[in-house]
Amino acid sequence: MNSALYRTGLVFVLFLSLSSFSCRMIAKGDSTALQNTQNLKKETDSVLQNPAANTETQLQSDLKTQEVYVAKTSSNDLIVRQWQILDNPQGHSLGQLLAKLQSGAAISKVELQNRQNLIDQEFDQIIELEQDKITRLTATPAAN
Amino acid sequence: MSTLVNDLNQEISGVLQGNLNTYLSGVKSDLKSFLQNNQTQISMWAAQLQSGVIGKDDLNDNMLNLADLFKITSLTEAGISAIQAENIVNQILDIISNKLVNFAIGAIVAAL
Repeated sequence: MNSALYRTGLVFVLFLSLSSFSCRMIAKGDSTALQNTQNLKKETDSVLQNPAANTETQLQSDLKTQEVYVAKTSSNDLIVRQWQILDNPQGHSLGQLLAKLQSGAAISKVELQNRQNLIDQEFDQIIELEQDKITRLTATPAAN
Repeated sequence: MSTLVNDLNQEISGVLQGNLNTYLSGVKSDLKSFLQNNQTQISMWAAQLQSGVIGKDDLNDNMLNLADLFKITSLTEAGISAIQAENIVNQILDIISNKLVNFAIGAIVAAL
């Protein structure tokens, strides 16, 4: 009887160990999210250098797709919040700038360049966090 | 079993001592240094406003966008700190997992 209990206990311990290993798999970085962010930064630069209604609409759609993707896949909700700030049409960043362009408001080339500089830095921050997730959480743990 | 617990204590303490200082120093987010880093940009906007290249509304938009950049930067710093903490937890889970598996295998071998 004791032996059966002991073995059941051992199986439970092994199960717990495997479960803890599975948990850490969830936290690994997402190279698709990183690649999408790098592509969106390029797309944004291109749109802001030559604004046109069709490319602005496409960028808005691509940003929304990425925001939904990150919300579904990211275990780190800070990245989700970063995308919400960047993409919010009622906010003060890229989403707002695109909404303003779409409304037909006149924005000078100099001002577009000013905003592009700020938005590029925002993309760089998101990229830094995605890269850090990949580097630190996907790396092989140190030997114990 | 007490040896196992002692071993775990020692190894987990080692991981925490090695990582805690780095983690705590990474948590700080500093608005003052953020503004200093962006001083050139802000001065440039002021000059553009003075020369009429941009309007008051543009300057207002830029300052609000700068505030959003600060939020995003702070979230990156917080995220990197959270990842460091998660990394420490993962290392601890590794230690516990390895110790328990070794202990279980040893006990099974002994029972056979």
